[in-house]
Amino acid sequence: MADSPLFDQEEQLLQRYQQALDQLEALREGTLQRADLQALTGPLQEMLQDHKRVLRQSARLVKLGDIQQEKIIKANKALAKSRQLLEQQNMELRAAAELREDVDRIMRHDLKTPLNAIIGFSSLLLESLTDATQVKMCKTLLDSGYTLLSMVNLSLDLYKMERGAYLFRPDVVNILPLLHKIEEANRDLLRSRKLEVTIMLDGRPPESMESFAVLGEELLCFSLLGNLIRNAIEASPRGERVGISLSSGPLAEITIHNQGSVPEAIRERFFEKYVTAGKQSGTGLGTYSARLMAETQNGSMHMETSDEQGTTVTIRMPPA
Amino acid sequence: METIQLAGADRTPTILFDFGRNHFSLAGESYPEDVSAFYGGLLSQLTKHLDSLQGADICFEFQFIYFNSSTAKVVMRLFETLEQAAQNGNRVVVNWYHEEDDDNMREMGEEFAEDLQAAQFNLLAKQG
Repeated sequence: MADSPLFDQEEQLLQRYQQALDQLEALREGTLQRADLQALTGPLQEMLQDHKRVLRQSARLVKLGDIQQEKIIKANKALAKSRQLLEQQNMELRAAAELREDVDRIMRHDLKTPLNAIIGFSSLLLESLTDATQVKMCKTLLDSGYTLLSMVNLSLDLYKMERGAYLFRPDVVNILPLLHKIEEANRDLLRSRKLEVTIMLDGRPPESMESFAVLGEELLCFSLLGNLIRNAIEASPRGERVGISLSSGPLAEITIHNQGSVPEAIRERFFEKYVTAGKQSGTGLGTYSARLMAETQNGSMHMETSDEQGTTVTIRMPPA
Repeated sequence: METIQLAGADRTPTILFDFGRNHFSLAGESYPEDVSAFYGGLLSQLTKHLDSLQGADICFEFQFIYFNSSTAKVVMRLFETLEQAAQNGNRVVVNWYHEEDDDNMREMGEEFAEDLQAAQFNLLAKQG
């Protein structure tokens, strides 16, 4: 306490008490005259006042300590309450996520059973039909059944990929015919939005029968490119161009560019699950599953976007 | 005397002692490991400066979020020093800020202000 400037007042008071005691002792021993006692009264009264002040301050400090303690107790209680609320919310979120996954999984499996009947019976029906219109209708029915089946299968595969349980069987895949197929599938949309798709191979238009081969699975490459190109078409301003460039190198590189920019709010989370913005029917699964499929095939994907340069998604995959 | 300006840290407040303008402020949290080491020099410089003034306009602002009991002792000393400066013929204004919903901080301000007579004390609630 003696070294602290905060307690110098108290320290001085103690010293003054000691001096007063010394003087009283001197009086008892007779070295101080009784007349000198008068001189002690004034300082003692001052000391009494100072002592009262110190005691008042001490009492106030105790009261302040109580107020501070109350503040801490209140804060702790509020903290405990919000922690409890957070835990509760976490539990509910976990339960909701589990339920959603369960429903997804059940749906995928349950969808396949009725599909067997649709595909099986429409195949049988097709064999017995003779009327051209009916044959055409039945073929459409069969094709739709197969499309739905491949969607369900892909969805099951994505589920396995998420859990690292997908068995990847790499093969040589030529990307160019896939791109043409995707462009064909989107022809109506391209026309209605007055858009043009250009495909370049190592900086020039590819020649017919030319190949750009990667090591992957055809269905996965088709799906991931289909998703990304569809996104680019939907995001591109009308009358612009969607550019697809293929570049050979140590890694095969595919870039898909459109002049639109990704909304600021989702830029950082572009590849995350359920992230979508500005699309009426967006599920937020397109880019997420595209990246999942690229990574499952030992590839990678990234995106750059700005209002000036538009958006470029780059996919890198091992070449064949 | 040169202005003292210290950025707030984990356990110590933001400090501005502008001796030229006689404007002083403490803001943030205060629970230094060694209160005497942290505040000792500041207190003695301030006391020395205020003792030398007469007829001056002095403003001290407290904007604490939290302080510990040792800091409370420092604040008590600051109030004494400021009251003394007011009694010496200076115009002293002490502004005590607290969050609108922080009743404890307001109550502590009132507690400190009890001994102020010559100095003017203002309790100010911060909005939002």
